[in-house]
Formats: sequence, C-alpha cells, structure tokens
Amino acid sequence: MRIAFPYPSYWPYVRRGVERCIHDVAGFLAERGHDVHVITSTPGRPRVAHEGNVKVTYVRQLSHPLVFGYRPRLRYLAFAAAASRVLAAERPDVAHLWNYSIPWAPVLRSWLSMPYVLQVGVRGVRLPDARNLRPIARLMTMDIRKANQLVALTAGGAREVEVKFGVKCGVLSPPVDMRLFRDVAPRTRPPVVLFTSDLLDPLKGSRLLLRAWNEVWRQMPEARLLLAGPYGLPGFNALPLAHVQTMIDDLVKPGARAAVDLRGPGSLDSLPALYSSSAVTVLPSLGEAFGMVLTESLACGTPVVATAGEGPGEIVSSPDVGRTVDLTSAADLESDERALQLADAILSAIELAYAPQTTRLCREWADRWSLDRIGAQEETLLYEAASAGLSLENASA
Amino acid sequence: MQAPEAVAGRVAARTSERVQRVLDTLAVTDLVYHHLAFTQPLVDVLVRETSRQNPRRVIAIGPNELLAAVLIDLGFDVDLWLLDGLPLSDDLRSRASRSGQLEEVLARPADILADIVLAPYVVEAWSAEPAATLQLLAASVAPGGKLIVAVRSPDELKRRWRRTRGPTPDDMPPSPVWPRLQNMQRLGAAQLVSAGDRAGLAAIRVLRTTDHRAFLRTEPLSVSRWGSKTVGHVAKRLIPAIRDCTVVTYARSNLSM
Repeated sequence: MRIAFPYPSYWPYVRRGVERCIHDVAGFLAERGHDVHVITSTPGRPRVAHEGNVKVTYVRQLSHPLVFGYRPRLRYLAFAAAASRVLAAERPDVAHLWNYSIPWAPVLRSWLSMPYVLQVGVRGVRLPDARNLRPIARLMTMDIRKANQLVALTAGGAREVEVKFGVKCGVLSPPVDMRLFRDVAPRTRPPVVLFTSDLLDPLKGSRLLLRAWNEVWRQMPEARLLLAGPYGLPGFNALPLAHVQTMIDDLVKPGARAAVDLRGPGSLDSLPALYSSSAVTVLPSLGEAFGMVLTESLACGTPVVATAGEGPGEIVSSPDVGRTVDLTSAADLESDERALQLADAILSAIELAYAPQTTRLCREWADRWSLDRIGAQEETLLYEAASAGLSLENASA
Repeated sequence: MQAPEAVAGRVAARTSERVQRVLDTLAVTDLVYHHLAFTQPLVDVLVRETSRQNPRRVIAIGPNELLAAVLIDLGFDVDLWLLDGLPLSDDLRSRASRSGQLEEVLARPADILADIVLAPYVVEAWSAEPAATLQLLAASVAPGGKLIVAVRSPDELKRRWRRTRGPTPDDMPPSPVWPRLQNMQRLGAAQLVSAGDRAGLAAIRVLRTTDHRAFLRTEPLSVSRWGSKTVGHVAKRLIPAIRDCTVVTYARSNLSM
C-alpha cells in the first residue's frame, strides 16, 4: 500500500505524542514493505528527507507575527492546503489523519479516491462537543464525522467521541517501541523525579508539579527533579524560553530550587537512559487522550504518577505500576491541596520504584502497547479503510 | 577586477546560505528554531569573520546551538566552552571541553591554543577591566591567531529609545538562545579598540552589525508593533551607529597588522 501521514508538525521540530506515534508507526509500516510518506511542515525551507524507508516531505509553515497575533489557526489551514497539493500529486492508496491534519479530508477523498483513517488524539477539554458547535465549526470537524475508519486512543476516548459526535469509533492506541524503550541503566540513588512533557503547556501540569516539588523535597531532600521537556510550542504558547526559569523561581522555594535540574528536551536517544535511571515519571495533565510519556517510562521499567482520569487513568490502572491523583479541572492544576496529593503520590511511587519486582511488572504492563502489536492493528485498519474506499468507488462507478 | 563590495556581498550571501542550510536541518524544537533564526544575523557575521582567517582550530566560548553547529559543519577543529543556563543538544555537550559559569570556564587559558577564539557577549559580562578580559581571552590564541569578540552596543536604537523613557535594563539577555549573561558594563566600539591597545592587541576590524532579525516570527504582534519593529530594523540597516552589536577582530600588536 502507498500510505500517507499528513500532519502539521513532526520531528525534529515537535516531539510530542502524535509525532512520536507517526514516526514509530510509519517506520513499522515501511519495514513491512509499504510505501510510507509523512507530509508535514518546517519552520525553515521546504525539503524532502528520508528516515530509513520513510519519505518525509516538509512543506513551508505559515509563521508570521501577524498570523500569530490575529489568526494562529490559519497555520493549520495553510498546512492543509499545502498537504492537499502533495497528496494530489502522490495519490496514495490510503491516508492516516489526525485532528488538525486536513479538515476538508472528505472532499479530498472524493477527489482523489483516497480513503482515510482518522485518529482522534485529543479528549476532555481539548475535544469540542460537536453538538454545541456553530455551523462553520461543525464544518471544521467533518473530517471526524465522515472518516472511513474513526479511532480514538483508548476505550474511554472512543466512548467520548461517540457521545460528542454521534458516530461509531474504534480504538487504536499509540505504540511504544519496546526495543528502544527498555531498562538500559540502573536506577540511581538519590532518586530522580522525571518530567518530560512540555513545560509551558498549561494543561501538562508543570506548575502543579513544581508546587508539589516543595513538599517532596521537604520530606526527601536528597531527591532531584529533572525537567527534560520542551519549552512551549508556537501558536499554543508564545512565552519566551526564559519564562521557564522564571516559573521555577516563582513556584519553587529556594532550598528546593537547587534540586531542580532544567535539562531541556535533549535527544530521543537519551530518553531510555533518563527513564530507566529515574525513580518515577510524572505527568499530572488534563485533556490527555493517552500519555505516551507513561508507556515509555513503563517500558523502561520505571513507575509513573499521572492523573486518575482520561487516557492516563486508563494506562495507570494498577497500583503495581504507579500512582494516580484526581485532577478534573484547570483549577486543580493551581490547587495547593492537589499539589500535596501529588507530592504524596510521588513519594509513594519512589518507594515503589525500589521494590524488587517493579521494573519487571512495569515492562510487562507496557507490552500491551508494544509497537509490534499496535503496528499490526494499524496495518489491518489501513487495509480495511483502503478496501472500503475501493468498494465505495466501485459502487459509485 | 571586481569591486571589493561585490566580493564581500557574495561572501556574505554564501555564509548566510551555509548558516541557513545548517539551521534547516538542525534537530531542534520549532520554538528553538525560531529563536535561532531570529538571532542568525550575528551568527552569520561571526562565521564570516572566522572563515576569513582560514583557521584550523577554533575555540567558541558560550556559543549557541547554531554557531557551534556551523563551525563544526565548516570542518574546523572546534573546542566548545559552554556556559550554564543554555540547554544544548547532547551532541554539542559531548564535544565541550569545558562547561560551567563564566568564571569557571575562563579560569585558565586553553590547553591547546587556537587560531581563532570566538567570544560573543562575554567581555561585557565580566566584571574585570575590559583590557584584562581581552588579555585573558587572548591567552588562548595561538601565535598569528585572532580573537573575535561581539559586544552589545550601548548606543543601539532600542537602548537609545529606552534611555528617553527611563533607566536601561542592562541585564536583559540578548536573546533566549544565547547564555543568560548579565551585562556588567557598557562598551562602545572606541572603548573596545582602546582596551585592545592596553592589552597589546590591535583591533584589525571593527564591524557594527545587527544581532537579530526585525522580529521573532512566532511573536504575536499587532500591525502597529510589527510596523514599528520593521521600520526600526530598516533604520538600523541604514545607520551603523544605531546597530545592536559591535564585532571586533583582534590580533597581537607585534605579530600582525
């Protein structure tokens, strides 16, 4: 099959969940002999690159202060237009889309005879309720409502899509590459608490973690907090990089501040060692459809602390692999009470990390999301979508 | 014969293209990309001044990701002295022979002297008398080599404008992708030249340059702010005296001129 993955952001510029997911699945499908093409955008000049057998086309991003000042979402539409041109030239057999890929995907499908799978990568506060949307906004979600195959990242996510959009939705979770993410380094003492998510995305919970850190450090002064996430994304957060240090200075008390290491995003290759050597990975986020940080950490044998709801709650459903905290609203992310609960959960997870069976249990737990399993599910889904597209084409002929 | 300006223009364009090519393929997040692109003009100048000397070994003190990557791409033997507070790629970190606060990094001369020592925004961040700082930096320069420093100009347009409205915040970092060094003193081009004289260094080239583009592409701006930034940038291109930065290339007085 000739498979296209159009999505506005990708490596190396953005390394969040969706981009990681596309990277891993694209690589898996290319290894299986498919012709895989990732279509994405670059802040620099347009170019074509190859990652192994995967072709990556970078179209130019629409980045201008006036666009960011007045209509940041124009950038998605500009990408969708550029990606549509590439798809029209390439005419793949099937496309795998995510939210924000191409809002007019149903039109493109008719024009190019290109069926598509759409994976809904957001939920909760980030996923609009189609029943409450105005006509233009409803038009912008037609890609979800008209997909050949619609999937969410977890069973709970699929239920939410079905309720909000009134369409049938399956499940395809993001994979974790168990060969890359494994326990490659011994757990260090004193314990390291790891945060690898976006420090400036308010819904990822970095502010809550920094508040909780004061209490963790009070009870365990030898512990260290390692901040190894990226610093914000254009269009989502325009704060300067220096704001991260200011945020730490504002929220963390002087003594505890010395135990905070602001490392920056680093490279993918460094992640397995970071996860393995840490005692616990923390993701106290909201609106999280899945939480790949969690499955990566578990694959490396390191327990996690996450929110009890949404995607993370469905991943951390066993006390053998981590702890959860009830976070349901943006107010929770600023709450002192929740910060204390998060601190308790982190301290408990640190204790769990040094229990003899924990590494094995975490890794076994993560195996259900292994790239081999999920990649095979993805391949089946794409075959089904492609053959459904062909049937539709034959019927209309 | 071609006019020297035409040759210089072509060299500048070639350098800029090379820097842009490295930036296009640098494995950085897009926020960092945009900040590096914003401050690319200074990197262009530093790379051009370095390449002009055909060095083999270069010491870069407090470089950002782009400057270091371009120097490596050019095939120089690059020794990186990294300053704390600026996240850099693991690859660059692994190439650094020194890292830490400015005091630690400059504690002693290089073990192996270099043909070029590059020090952007370092001289004004050191509390010592500028001549002493230049002497300290020049101690790592091999015989016949050059010291290149970049210093934020006290007479740049933005500071002139701010002076009309109150005190100038001198500790403002030049950009988030350069190390956050505190500005301990204000040094103009004339002071740098005379400091060089006192240190036994001749300023063989003094350039007034802009150290950033008109605007950061990801900064949300209204039409009026965007317009004023663009006009200010055009003014700086036309009037060297109000540009952001002074880049001085020094040689030992007794060895070259």
